[in-house]
Amino acid sequence: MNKRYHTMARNNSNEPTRQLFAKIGEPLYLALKSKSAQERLSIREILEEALAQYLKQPSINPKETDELPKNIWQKDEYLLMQAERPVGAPISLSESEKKQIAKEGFFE
Amino acid sequence: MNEIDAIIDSSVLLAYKSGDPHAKNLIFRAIEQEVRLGISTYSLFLIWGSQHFDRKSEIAFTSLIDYLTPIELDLPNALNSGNLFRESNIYLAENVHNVDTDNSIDIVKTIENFFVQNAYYKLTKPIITCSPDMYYEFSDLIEPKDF
Repeated sequence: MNKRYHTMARNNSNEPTRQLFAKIGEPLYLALKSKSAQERLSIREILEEALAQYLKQPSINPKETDELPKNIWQKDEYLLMQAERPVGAPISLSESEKKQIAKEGFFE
Repeated sequence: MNEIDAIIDSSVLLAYKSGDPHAKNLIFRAIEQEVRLGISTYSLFLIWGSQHFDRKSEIAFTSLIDYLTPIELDLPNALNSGNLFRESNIYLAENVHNVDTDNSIDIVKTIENFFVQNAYYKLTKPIITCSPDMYYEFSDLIEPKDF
């Protein structure tokens, strides 16, 4: 019942890729890692999007970008499923989820 | 219970839900545990009883309550709040004298104020509200932007 379903976008593109190695500051890396977990996006996807924006190029993967959830309810399939249940239905949330919902759950 | 810094009422939570920037700032501070806010369980009753309350509201408010301190509606609170209600001039107030469908909702909301006032006297903590006009003959109130 409480099984969590998460969407993790995958790069199915057959475009050639290059491996990039760079040392970045630890605070930035930790923030990136946190954002990656929070948004449920891979670090590669975030980096590609950031680089595309920096270079003012259209998104590398526009289809995926268009489909990015707009709010907390759309980001998480478990929450979306819970939102469709009747008022009073039991729900189990982690501490970090509660905090995020308390901050973002009211704002569409 | 004495560890709270202030008491909020349902108007603050409803303002937060509506995106009021001052209420948002206050509640965010509570979520980050910079301030400790108490809320009467009667205020939560009003939130849950709202016509606009839905499943998303339930999940969001339930999550938010974790960062607030509920002030339980126990026996002494019920009796003392009742005393405040009886001793007030609310029965004589023009806008609630003739109870009908339109203003009965106002009375239900007004009753909240007596529970909040009782918590104020018991805990000696300030009351934060977005609806100061709902507090009859009680003026020691703070708006979210001033806390």
